[in-house]
Amino acid sequence: MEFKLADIGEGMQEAEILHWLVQEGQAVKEDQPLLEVQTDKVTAELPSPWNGVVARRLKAEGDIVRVGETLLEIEVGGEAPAPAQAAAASRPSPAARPEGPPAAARAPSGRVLASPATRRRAREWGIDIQAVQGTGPAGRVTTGDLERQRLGAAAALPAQASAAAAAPRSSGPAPAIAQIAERQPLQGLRRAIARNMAESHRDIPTAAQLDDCDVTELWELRRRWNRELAAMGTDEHLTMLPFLLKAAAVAIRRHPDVGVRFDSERQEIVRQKELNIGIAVDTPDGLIVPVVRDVDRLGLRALAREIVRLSSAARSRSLVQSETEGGVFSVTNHGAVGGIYGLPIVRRPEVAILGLGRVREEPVVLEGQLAVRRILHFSIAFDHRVLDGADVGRFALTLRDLLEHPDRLLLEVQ
Amino acid sequence: MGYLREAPNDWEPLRLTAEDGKPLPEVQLPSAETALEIFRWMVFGRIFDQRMLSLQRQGRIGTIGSIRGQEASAAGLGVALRQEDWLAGSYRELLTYLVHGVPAEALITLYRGGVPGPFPAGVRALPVQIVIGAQMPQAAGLGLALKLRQEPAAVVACCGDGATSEGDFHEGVNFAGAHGLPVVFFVQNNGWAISVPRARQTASATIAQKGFAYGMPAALVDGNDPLAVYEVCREALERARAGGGPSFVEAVTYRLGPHTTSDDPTRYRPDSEVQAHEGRDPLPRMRRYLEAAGIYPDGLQEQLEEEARTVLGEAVAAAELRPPVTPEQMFDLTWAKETPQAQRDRERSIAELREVGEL
Repeated sequence: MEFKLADIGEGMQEAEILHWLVQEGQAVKEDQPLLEVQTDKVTAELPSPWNGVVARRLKAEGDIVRVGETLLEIEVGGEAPAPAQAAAASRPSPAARPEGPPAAARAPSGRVLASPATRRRAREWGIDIQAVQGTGPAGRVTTGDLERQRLGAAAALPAQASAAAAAPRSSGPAPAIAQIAERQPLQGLRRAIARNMAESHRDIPTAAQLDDCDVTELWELRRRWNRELAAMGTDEHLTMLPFLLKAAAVAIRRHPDVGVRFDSERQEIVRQKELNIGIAVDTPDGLIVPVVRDVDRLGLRALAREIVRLSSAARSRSLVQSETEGGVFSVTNHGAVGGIYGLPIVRRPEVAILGLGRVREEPVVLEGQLAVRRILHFSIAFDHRVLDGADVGRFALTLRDLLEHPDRLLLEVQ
Repeated sequence: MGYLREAPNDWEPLRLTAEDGKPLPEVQLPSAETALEIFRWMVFGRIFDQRMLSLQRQGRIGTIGSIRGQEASAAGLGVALRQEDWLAGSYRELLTYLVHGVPAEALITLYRGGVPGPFPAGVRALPVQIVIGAQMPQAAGLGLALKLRQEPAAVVACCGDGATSEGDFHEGVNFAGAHGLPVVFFVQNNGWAISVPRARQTASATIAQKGFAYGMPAALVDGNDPLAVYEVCREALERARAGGGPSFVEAVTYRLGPHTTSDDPTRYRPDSEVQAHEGRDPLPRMRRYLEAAGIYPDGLQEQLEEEARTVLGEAVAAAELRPPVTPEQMFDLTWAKETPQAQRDRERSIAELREVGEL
């Protein structure tokens, strides 16, 4: 019979074999421990379900075994062969240990006490928590102990770390190339992002257009308006984003195919009355995309206020579901953390997304002369099932025209 | 100034026997027959725990909590119960369920993710509660029913020290106190709520004193002295059955094993503490008592262990023969008479499962 690794945690995927507690050819009784494994959560002995003889051990100490893989074969009801046979039956196993009671080789239970949060901090700081002198109750290692260790050993730490990295593994036949320091399950928002991104990436044949435009005039206009706002005594402040959203909305009204939703199951293009645009917000938990409603109907100041409101609600995780739904287009700002070029992922069921780089001064040729201008690099990623390059090219041309000539943009603002 | 008063904090747990098994002076002890009955169940609980752990590691049952070290509390309480009493407990009281008449096969089936069906006719026990503290208000409700029906029976509501921080605990105990219901609240304080030690659970010197706040008498008992647990529970249950109202018992014991099979206590609990408590294991302590009292037949424990293994072997085999649980059964056991809403939920769920090929 094959003895397989079961899910002995709650949803565990794999375990590491720490020690074999039986040899090939050895007789075992029901519930006798066969081997010891280490999972994410526990170290556990796995007992035999049957009386019989160990026919074959299929894994070696140090192996990472997935749930459902066979660990060993047991001949149920069999009897241990005579010593000579046992030697013959016992295949040379690199993991086989010399004589000695298995208990002697068991993992020492001398683990230091520490909370999971402290252990995680130790891993993040590259500190071996076993080596830290704990000052908490019963010698528990606290975060304070880690801080002392880090400050006190800041200079010595790199040397220690590299020595530890160079040290070969003490057990196991072949040293593993990499040792797992931690396996962290994706949770909550991260899990949702992972699923959405993977689905979009898998389902959407994405093409992209990269472009730039000269936003010097818009930049100056914005600065003048901000001075006006300051003089009025409001605490309002205009960033580039309301202008860019407005320009995108105007361009979508002129090229409506870019601002649609695609129902891939029914192979239908869904046009929506409301022109709602998602804005990607970087939060401590991950990316959240609240949706600004009716971008075409809002004035620039109202738009700016709405962007501030939604962004802060996203960061405090207080958005309601309706505030993240119903978009027909999205804007993401990889320039916010300094990026110039970026290639965003289209958010299903939308069909296009605008990625914005940081505005910077660049030398450009203007009417035959070199000039220093403020340049915005942008990218438009799109779903090639629904849109072609030419559609997006025309959209990009309009967008660029509006951004380079703010008077044309303002003419369209309602 | 000086108006505030402190609660007394010099309360020592009641004991009838010492660590060496010798009776303390001038105590009234249960009969030899009762003592042997309690011991038999303690041995059964120990073997049951080993067997369940083993089955879990072999992938034959799901996650399970260890009861090792708490057999005295569970068996002392269980033997004090009468057939007409109701038991409302959690996964840490599996031994009490067994003593009260729930067959091992039903519990093993439950932990195989199966549906054990209702417990056998005449076994008055709520399903094993997994939600921490949720059984406490349910037990108060049972108590109200017994009172309204004027049945001379009691309810025992069991929980752990961790559950005493839950709202459900306070709601249940308060309701029983306010309405004078025949409920015995039995808290097994095993020192740890997963990784939270008792000292971090509450600022009260004892958990027992919480009973006073809800207007009921309380006892603090050494939970590793099964005879003391039995006597305290017997008094509390008799009082409840006779219409005397609720009472509160804290049994101080220790969880020798992990919280569950998914827990590694070496991460948060000092080995020295566990070793000290291994020395106070209630099972050898009870055996020492029986030996000292001259009522321990030679080889009794080994014989009881063998019997337990046989019973459990048959129970495991029977449980593994049961057909696997189906999604419909989730609905079958929710309502006695299904509501229209539940009916729609059932139909929609099953249609969806069919659609994705899970059914």
